[in-house]
Amino acid sequence: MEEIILVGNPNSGKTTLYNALTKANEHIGNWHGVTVEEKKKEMRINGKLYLLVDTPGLYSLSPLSFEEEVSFKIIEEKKYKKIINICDRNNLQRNLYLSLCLIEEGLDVVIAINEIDKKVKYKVDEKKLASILGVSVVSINAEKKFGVEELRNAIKNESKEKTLPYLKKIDFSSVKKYFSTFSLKEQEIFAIKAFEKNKNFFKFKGFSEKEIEEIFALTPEDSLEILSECRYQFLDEVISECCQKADFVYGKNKFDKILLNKYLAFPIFILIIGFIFFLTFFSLGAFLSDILAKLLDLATSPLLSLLENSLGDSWIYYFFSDAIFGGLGTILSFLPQVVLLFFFLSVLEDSGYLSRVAFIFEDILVKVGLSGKSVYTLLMGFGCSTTAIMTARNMDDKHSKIKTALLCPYMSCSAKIPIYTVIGGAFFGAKNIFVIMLLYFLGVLVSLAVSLILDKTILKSQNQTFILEFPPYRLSSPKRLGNILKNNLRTFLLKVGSVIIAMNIIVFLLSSFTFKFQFVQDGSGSILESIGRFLSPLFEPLGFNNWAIVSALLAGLVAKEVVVSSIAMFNGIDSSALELVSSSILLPTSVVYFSSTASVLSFLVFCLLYTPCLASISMMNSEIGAKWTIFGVMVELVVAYVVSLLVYNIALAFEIFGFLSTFFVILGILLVVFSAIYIFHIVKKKRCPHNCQDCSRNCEK
Amino acid sequence: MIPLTSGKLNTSYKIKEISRANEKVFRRFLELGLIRGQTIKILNTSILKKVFLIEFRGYLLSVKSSLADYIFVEKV
Repeated sequence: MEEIILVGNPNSGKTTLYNALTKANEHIGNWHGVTVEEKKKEMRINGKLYLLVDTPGLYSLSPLSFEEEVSFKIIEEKKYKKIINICDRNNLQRNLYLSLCLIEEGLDVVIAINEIDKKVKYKVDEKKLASILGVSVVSINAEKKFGVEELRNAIKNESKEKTLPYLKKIDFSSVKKYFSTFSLKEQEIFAIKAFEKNKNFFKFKGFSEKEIEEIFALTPEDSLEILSECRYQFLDEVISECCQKADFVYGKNKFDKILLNKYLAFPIFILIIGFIFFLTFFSLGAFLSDILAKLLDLATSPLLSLLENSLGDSWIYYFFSDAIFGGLGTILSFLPQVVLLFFFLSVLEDSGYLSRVAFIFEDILVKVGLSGKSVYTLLMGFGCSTTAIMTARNMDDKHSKIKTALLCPYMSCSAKIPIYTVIGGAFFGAKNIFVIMLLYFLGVLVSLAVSLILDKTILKSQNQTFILEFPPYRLSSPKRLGNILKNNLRTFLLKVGSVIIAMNIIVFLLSSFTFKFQFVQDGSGSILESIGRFLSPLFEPLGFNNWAIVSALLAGLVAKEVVVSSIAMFNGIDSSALELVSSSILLPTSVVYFSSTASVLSFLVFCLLYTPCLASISMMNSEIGAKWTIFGVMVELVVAYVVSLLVYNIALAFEIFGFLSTFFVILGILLVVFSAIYIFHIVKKKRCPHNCQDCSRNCEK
Repeated sequence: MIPLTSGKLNTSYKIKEISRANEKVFRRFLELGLIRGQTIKILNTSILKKVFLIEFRGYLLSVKSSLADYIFVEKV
């Protein structure tokens, strides 16, 4: 089947057009680099089937990043029938720069001018543009599918070979001589590529490093600047001839004066995120979770009673009730929260606000080795780490991607909320909301500290090219919002839900059978208990040397809220009666019993920070590879252990010695530590011999 | 001639030179239209001035200050 490829600048609407032409439903966004790998799907033109290939965005044919290289190779392999070059109407001049690069190579191109923002009045004379460039030009609106049929028809037209006028102004003669054995067209293309100093191109064509050096030596030192200036001067003329340009700056908005204001930017961000969190976790999300739980109960209880009547008190009955329906309950209980958080963040992504967020957070995050772009992924982590890890692909460099993916699990995901409310609620009552807020804050703080350590050691920030376009503010259409919801539901149910059900079955088997494969209903003597008993002494320093708690933590590897249902199971309480579970952990006669506030705090902190669920681990494995996944899981275990140990001992000191004395002791210790660090820095600075080569310090010498 | 990072807010400058010290950044700037003679305006900076929001050729771009240092400008 013949291929048609879709190329264009980032955020020009390629994926929207891909969806319109193929009736696919790929994720799009008002944000740089949403597409990170090629996608292919069939499309029909006049009854004939073609394969449409969506490629990551690029600005020219000299790739500078991994994604751009993917597109570059697809273009240069020339296995396609036609290129659809999509250009954003509102930023036409810059978008046409890539078109020039494609036309210079004599590639068969059709230009689709995409209207993203209808508010902007901006007329383009497509016929004139087509005659100047020698290719078909069609105006489209990819979202509203306007002009898509015309585009299908234009694909059939062949491009005329044309030498662009500005190329005649440049003296390529010295370079062309080098390629005298090639055809005239090839000589011209190779000379342009030599002026571009396009190493990737010549490597792709099989030239050796030595030959490439010889070729580049034949060009002026500022050849790339000469070529770029000629292209842009030509584009200036083209735009003034073909476009009635309104006097506007794309993306400029008066709201930015407030949203990017030094004093207001952070409070506004916190207000927006606070409102989203309130809707997601407390009001709308909790309401929807309750409804889903009731619906599931209504649907499964007749089936369960039927099974109970026919199977009696056998393990098969418990397999269905606990493993299968319990797993479904787990998924449905936090499905609304994850989907809602994704929904709201997608609306933010669409609105163009995320580019502003990246802008205001760059200052802080760059200090810990992250980039402003990480904010989106880390915010997603509050909903579900698994789906958040997927979005780490948008980072500039490999190290940033790995770091951001490794940090996602430290953001307190929605599955941990039941642990905080049930276990924390038992001890702290109404004050528990402050404990929960502190836990969220601690998660963020620990993630920043871990990032800083990784940045200073094995995952140093590479050359981060933070150049981000500022898209205009946009409102999502209802159709698009519906699509976002549908996609998020599908991703969660298929990718996350399936792993949760599978792991729920494994935990059920481990907690219901002994090593001799005998069924035990209350979990006593089960494989899980044996492992819990074996590991529990390790948790003595953390204040919870209790096999059942350790077993619950192990079961929590499936999904963190299984920790609560496991505790309920060990204490012999129905997990839906959350208040009974809360009161049971205060009774010394219960299997799971917390003796002090210190041990509960330590347990909550451990739950916040320890290994993420298996669904997240498997996602991490597919995104950053097994080596970094194992490393990340080990670091999380160590961090969780160390921080819980600290929290337990500090809380214990508060309980034993009273608030004031402990506070002053901690303050004293912190003062000594910070003074030592400060003195160390001064001594190090004084020793600086100003041997500036390879020095990473900013001493300005 | 001053680096763009030393420029003032809402003042128009003309690009005199783009440093070739970082080849990737140099190429990216040229592709985006940051070429010699181009008029450019700083619209905003982040709190610690680590990122600059610039306006040119009818669109906006946010650029890290370490990269904006490669752009040398002159007041129009």
